[in-house]
Amino acid sequence: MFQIVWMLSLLPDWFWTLVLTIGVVGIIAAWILKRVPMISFYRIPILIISVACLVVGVFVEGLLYNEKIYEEEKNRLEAVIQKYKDQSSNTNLEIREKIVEKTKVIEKRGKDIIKTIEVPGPERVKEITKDMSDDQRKAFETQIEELKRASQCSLPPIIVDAHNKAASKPEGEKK
Amino acid sequence: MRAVLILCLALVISSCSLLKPKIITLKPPFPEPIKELTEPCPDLKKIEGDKVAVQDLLKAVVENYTMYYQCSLKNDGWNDWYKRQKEIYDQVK
Repeated sequence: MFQIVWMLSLLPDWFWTLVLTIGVVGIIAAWILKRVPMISFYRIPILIISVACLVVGVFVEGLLYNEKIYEEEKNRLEAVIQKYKDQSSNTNLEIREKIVEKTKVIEKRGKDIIKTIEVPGPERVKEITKDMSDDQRKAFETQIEELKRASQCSLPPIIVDAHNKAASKPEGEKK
Repeated sequence: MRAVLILCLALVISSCSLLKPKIITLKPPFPEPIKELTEPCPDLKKIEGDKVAVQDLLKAVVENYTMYYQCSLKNDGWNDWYKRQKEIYDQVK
């Protein structure tokens, strides 16, 4: 059926409007001819052709109108979907940027905390304490000494095992 | 004659409506997930070695906390992604 529609749509729209008009005018002419005795002979062929034109005209006009509505709806939906796609990808971009940025902040925070528990070398201590007051420097140096002492003591294996056990994946869990 | 004309027009009009059920099946595509969110969370870090100092333990703990927050961020990201994508999807009419 759609092949027929396609073939009919190859003809210009005005052609079908013309066919429809011929049909209507022909029927009116046939009705007028009925009242003229001399030429009423032509009434029947004119009426047949006019009715045929009217039927075909209305049919094709209806088809084309239908097709036009379908195309308009299709174009509208395509535009809506394109807008949706754009909005969706923009949202993805926004969320991605936020995640990448926050991941960096969290990573830096972790590294900074680790730095505070590492025993710094004498040069680094000098650099850190250069702007400190005497009291602050003393307190800092005491902290370093405590850190040094702590780093020399090793933990009992049971603590390490407990930590590792807690860090292990629960049994039966699949990744 | 009038009856024939009415019958023809009725037939023509009904045939127009017969052609109408041309269903438009344009569905919005499922949104693509963000690559960063689809990466699985890494395994937690364990401590290795015979002599383990407090610093080593603490380092592993800090790294694991960092991993937790990164993973938690992904979880929040998925929730945010779902909520916002659903809002956009619901607007499609």
